[in-house]
Amino acid sequence: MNQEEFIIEAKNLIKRSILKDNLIIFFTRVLEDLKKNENSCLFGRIKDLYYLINPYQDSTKKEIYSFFKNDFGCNEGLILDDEEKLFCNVLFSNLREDFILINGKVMKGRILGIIKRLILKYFPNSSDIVEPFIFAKLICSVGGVDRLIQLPSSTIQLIGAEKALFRHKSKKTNSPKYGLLYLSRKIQENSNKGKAARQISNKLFISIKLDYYQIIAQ
Amino acid sequence: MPNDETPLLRCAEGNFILKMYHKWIPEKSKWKAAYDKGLNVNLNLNDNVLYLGASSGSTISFISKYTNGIIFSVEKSPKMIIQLIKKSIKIKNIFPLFCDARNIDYIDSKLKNTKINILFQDIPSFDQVEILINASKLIDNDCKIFFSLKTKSISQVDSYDTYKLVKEKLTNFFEIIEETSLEPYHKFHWFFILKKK
Repeated sequence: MNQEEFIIEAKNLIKRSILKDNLIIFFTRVLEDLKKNENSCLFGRIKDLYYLINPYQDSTKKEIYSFFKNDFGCNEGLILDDEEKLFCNVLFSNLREDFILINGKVMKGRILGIIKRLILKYFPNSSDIVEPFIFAKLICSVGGVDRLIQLPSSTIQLIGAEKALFRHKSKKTNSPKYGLLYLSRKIQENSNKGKAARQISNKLFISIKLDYYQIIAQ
Repeated sequence: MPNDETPLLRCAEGNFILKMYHKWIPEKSKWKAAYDKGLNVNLNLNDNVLYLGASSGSTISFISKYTNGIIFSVEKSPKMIIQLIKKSIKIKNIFPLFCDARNIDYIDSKLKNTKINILFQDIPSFDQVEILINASKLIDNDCKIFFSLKTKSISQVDSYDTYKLVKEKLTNFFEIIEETSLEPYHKFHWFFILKKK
């Protein structure tokens, strides 16, 4: 038996399993960091992205910086299009050597635009139901689309309200009706917010599966 | 199995600092914890191992020193198996398999009728016993089965009750040779040595 055959086959299967939703998670987490502090160090986030693109390398801080500053290629892990490389270059052109952004205030708006374009590209059905940034937050809090499609609609309704849910279970307070979906305009304009949240989560339950199996999994 | 004082990794031989860091600790490995508890989990020189739930390969890197046979290591999570592949490039008898442990057909196609001497299962899942029963189709009757049970992943109720339930299930399919709890090292864990009936 040859060990190399096993390693090559495992590497090919891993390549398929690293999906494009990781890029959306990266940008939303960067945006959430910048909202807390505009001068926050982004080394941890960028390191995660680097090891998605080059999973089998051990690199130093300087090597990671120089990799993204030049035109980078991707073979073993996450593969990026030309458009997605452009999105990355928007971020990395404004990055200093200590992994702090030069102009954090302006970059917040740009990253929000990038997230919108990525979600419209990969989740066209579900972006009709909720706003793109809220949907990106949903993916981010669960940790991936492959986990999100396994959840029932009642759980999708309450993502982000875990603290209130467990308080309800232990101390018997009122149960929460909505989590992160509350930020959506459709719920805020509606007078009966609990009912609207339930309807939206039911619709999302179907649309996420459509997007996943039609676009992302292929 | 050698003592703790022997150098544990091939690359670490003669290097005192590496030896200190790469010590096989029972708190991190259930195989070593079972060995410290006094179970007979020794390996022969030419044993082939099928390891279900390999994770990042910390236990496997130590086991590979004690056999010249092949260690088929099955893992589902991509984050973990990337670290395992890094190790398998250095150590020549680790064969990584990226698949679900429930997917027997795929594993069977990769084994190509190689005889397995030891089957180790360490998957903290609610259907842990069913996975073992399913995987036992791959092995012969004389194969040893090492099974580490995490009771809290099956139910959150009293762990001793779930241990009894699991033991009842196991006796239908396997013959229990030895068993202990791994209590000071791993809480709510039990370790079984089994044989096919």
